[in-house]
Amino acid sequence: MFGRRRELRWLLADERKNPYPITRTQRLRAWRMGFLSQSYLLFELDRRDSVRDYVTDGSRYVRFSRLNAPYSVVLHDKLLFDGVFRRHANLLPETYALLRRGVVWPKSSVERVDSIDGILDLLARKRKLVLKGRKGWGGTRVTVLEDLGGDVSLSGTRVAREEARREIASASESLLVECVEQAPYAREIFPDSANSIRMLTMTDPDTREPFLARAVHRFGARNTRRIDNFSQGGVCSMIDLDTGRLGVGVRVLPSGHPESVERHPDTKAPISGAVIPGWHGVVRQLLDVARAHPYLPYVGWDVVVTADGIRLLEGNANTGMNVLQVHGPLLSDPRIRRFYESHGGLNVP
Amino acid sequence: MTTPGALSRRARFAYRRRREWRWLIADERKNPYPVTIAQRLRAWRLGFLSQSYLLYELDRRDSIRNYVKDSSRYLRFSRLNSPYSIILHDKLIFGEVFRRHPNLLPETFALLRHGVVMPRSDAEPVESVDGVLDLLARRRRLVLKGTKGWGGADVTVLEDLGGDVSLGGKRVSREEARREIASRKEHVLVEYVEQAAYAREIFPDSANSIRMLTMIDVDSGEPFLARAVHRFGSRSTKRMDNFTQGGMCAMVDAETGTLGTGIRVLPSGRPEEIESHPDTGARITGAAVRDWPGVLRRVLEIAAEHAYLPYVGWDVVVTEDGIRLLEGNANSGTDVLQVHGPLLADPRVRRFYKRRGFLH
Repeated sequence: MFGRRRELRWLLADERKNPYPITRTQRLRAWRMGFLSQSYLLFELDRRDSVRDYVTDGSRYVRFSRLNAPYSVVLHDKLLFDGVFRRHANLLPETYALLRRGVVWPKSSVERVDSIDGILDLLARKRKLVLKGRKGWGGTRVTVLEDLGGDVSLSGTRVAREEARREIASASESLLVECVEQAPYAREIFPDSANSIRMLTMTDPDTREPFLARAVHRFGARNTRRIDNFSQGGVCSMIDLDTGRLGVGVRVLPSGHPESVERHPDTKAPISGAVIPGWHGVVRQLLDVARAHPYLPYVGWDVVVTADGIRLLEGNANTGMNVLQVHGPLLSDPRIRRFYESHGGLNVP
Repeated sequence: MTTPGALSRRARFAYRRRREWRWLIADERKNPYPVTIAQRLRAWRLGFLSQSYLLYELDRRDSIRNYVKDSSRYLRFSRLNSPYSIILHDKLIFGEVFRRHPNLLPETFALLRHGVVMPRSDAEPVESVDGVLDLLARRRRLVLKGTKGWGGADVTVLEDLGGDVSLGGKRVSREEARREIASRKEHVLVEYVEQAAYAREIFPDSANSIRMLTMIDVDSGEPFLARAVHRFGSRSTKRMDNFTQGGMCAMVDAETGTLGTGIRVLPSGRPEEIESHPDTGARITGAAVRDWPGVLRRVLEIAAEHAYLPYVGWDVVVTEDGIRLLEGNANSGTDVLQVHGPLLADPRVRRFYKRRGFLH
């Protein structure tokens, strides 16, 4: 019951967050169909003949949290995630420290950091670091620290070193991790954020082998504060699973509707047609990881492709659907439908 | 005005509190030893369960102030490793987190859930209940361990008897074993650890482990060994080394690795000192743990790497080539530790509990 209440509260909170203009009739129509208002606008459900192949928000918020039970905590808790996935060589970005109310616990044998000043010293050497909240139920709190030679940038806002120290010391439980150096193809499209791919893997209920359900590349933009967040102004593009080629880019208009873009709006670099180098290796490596953790049958991985393989930023136990379904409904793939159905995860509208 | 957040925090606190009290009361009810009402009341007033009162012989002590009370242990210590105790409580997560240390954990072969078998080992892929029995035929012994064990893990030793199977010492047919294994809720199937010769000689029919309690010193941030107690099984412990079910225990001298006098529980609930194992006649007192300095070093290294878990009762089996970690306990039982004397007599141990605000 406690879990159920939490899920409904989460659903309501996200509905309230809708920043886009929507009439009451549209909103009611969205709810009746099982969607949040922002999904209704983003998927343009009013212009579709059939919506039956879309995963509804009702299913996602109220049912999918149980797909990885009882082990979703391994994905929710970033420290636990780090502890569990650390054993795969060169997979995670280096974790330097665990912070809890100003106390710094070193976590790396390469770079020993045990104080706030130590963090700022490390930042001066590494230029960029990431501070990641330990718990994130429905969205992680991430701050990108940058060294500006004396001053410090916190997710794009310039502050004095003293203020940065105070800010870091007051952060609730967080992990200090390496800022991943992405491969040139992604840097060329947008260099100011680590642009990641949301890759959704599912364990096939019949063969018990993991498969890649969908992969969508996200890119930051000037207003996304060093993150590649799609709903805050970023761009995303679906990857052709066979070739690793990016499709048309999509961004959200102020109306909440999607707009297709061929190029990144800030850098003008072409998105559609760009190819991820070594794509087959990327998929193989990720499926190997998924196979090694069969107790997690449904994960939305955040993967950054680097010059020497992939880095896993995190795994989401109940991935958001916006960025995935803005490119088309998930359930038109029979394997995906079969996965959800076998877990009893689909709401019949 | 009370905010919903504060209310929900309070509700969760009350829920946890209730669970701790229920655990305490359940363990008091489990006391199998004869105890008078007067003794029981006196035990409770002192903050102990009746079985601890008998085991520590508190009625014969001048001072009991150095004993960790059961009320502290049951009602407070669960929070010592918060919020990370789930790593120790859940055996699958424990395995996932600690398996990155080479040669530390016994191999986990599979995760079992209502008859579904998920392979967990590259060397021995086990994918079905029949696969489990085939593996058993090759390995002779395996261990099934419940993933959740709040206050006592649920562990069954499987043995191959050439056709039939022994489950925790009970002989059953292969068919029955298959049914029994398939009915298990959530279990991990792990390797049966081959212990070093010194431990096998004392009692060969169980994997005899050492409960090693480590604490992280608040000031230095370094781990230290608070106490180490070797457990040994006996004829009545069903292939386990369970002290309260008829096993023996002996304190390990932290400097030398030599075992002290053995202790077992009498039917009266009081302790009895023994020099040798009653079933095998092998000498306990004076026996030496194989390569004790190496054992201690490795356990402290592991504790230091997981310093976010400041209070762990590790179950360690010493093998011919090092150690194997069976599990870590977030809130270690204190009976097997304190039957050899109170924990708080060591100023470091007392300071650990006190500085973290965990002493009544």
